[in-house]
Amino acid sequence: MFTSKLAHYFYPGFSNNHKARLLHSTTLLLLAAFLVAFQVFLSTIPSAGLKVLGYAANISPEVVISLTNQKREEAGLSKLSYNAQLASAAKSKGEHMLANDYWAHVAPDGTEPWIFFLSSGYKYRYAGENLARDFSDPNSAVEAWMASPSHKENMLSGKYNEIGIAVVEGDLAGVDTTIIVQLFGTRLGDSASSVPIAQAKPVATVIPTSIILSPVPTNQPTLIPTPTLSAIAPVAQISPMQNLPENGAVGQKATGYQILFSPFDTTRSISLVTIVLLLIVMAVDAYVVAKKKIARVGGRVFAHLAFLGMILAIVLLAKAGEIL
Amino acid sequence: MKKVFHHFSHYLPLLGITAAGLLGFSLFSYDRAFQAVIVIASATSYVAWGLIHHYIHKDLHLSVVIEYFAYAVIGVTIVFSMLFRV
Repeated sequence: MFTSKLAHYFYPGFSNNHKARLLHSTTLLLLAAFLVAFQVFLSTIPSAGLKVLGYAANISPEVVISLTNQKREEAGLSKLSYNAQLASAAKSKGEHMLANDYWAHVAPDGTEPWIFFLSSGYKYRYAGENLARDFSDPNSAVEAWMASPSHKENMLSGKYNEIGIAVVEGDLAGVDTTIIVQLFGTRLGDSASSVPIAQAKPVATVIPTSIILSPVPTNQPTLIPTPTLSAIAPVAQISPMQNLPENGAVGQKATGYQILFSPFDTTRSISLVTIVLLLIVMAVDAYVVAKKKIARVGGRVFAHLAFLGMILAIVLLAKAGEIL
Repeated sequence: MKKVFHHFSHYLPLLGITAAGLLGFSLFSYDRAFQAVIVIASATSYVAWGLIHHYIHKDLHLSVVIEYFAYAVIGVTIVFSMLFRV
């Protein structure tokens, strides 16, 4: 009984109109619906108060700086020096994102990234920011930044000569994750900048995925970085939204045993099982039909194999992690 | 030999579609929205290929159309669940 039931789904025969039931169009559409339902289920876990979803990571700021400078060296650029104020600004930005539960360069309340530069006492001539989340190791994050033209421009820009990195762990939208904040800067009045003042861009440019700021050229030295002071919120007004307690409670995991299921790995495993199962059943089905010379109206098996093969390759290529 | 060449010339565009889809997905790894568009375009091209192929072979039926559509839907669903996961 069980064998015949199994054969009905996985082997062409009389009961399934000589086509494995798993390969029927209705079954495929039901499978797709199941995959969607699983994703909906995963998204309800955080709202149910269950803290079991997360991305484990082993990332240190020093390694990120080292990898960044390695890329710069390979491009023939000078290394960036570590700056404690930039690191402090990066930590503030990361903690602000976790405390206020957002993933963006500009906070929902309008807090711009350069507020964090100024609040840490870093008066900049040029400033830039790269963000990354859900990566398990620093190399993957750096490679992801380098694969994106705008983020690569930040990393390999000759305008910057200092860097600050923060790696903060915490809960973002119900998922335990690790955020990397990479800040670049050149101090105001720093003569080490490779870009002479006269050649600086006259207009501040804002790039959607990374932010580079440049001063408006004037004949008189300015102590205040552009945009003008009126456009910059004073330090005391940084985000009326919730700030973190100064003891750095953010990112501290609950004590005791905590199970973390990676949404990416779980989804990927289910996707792989689905595709491999379909490919195997399709191959067996095609072999049996050809051997028994069964006449059947249907799509070309090779075409389906090619398409599913492409999907399988995409699933294998896909990586966890997101940059901004 | 003639039969092999005939089949090869029919399947070459399909191989091109899958190769282009894979290459595009890999090249634009930093832009999820564009990756999603590439996958949709590949799936649509795959269905279009199926329709044209079966029309040429005079065996285009509604069940065949639905079959290609179902495979496209499950392929896109799998990739989207990876791209836009929790």
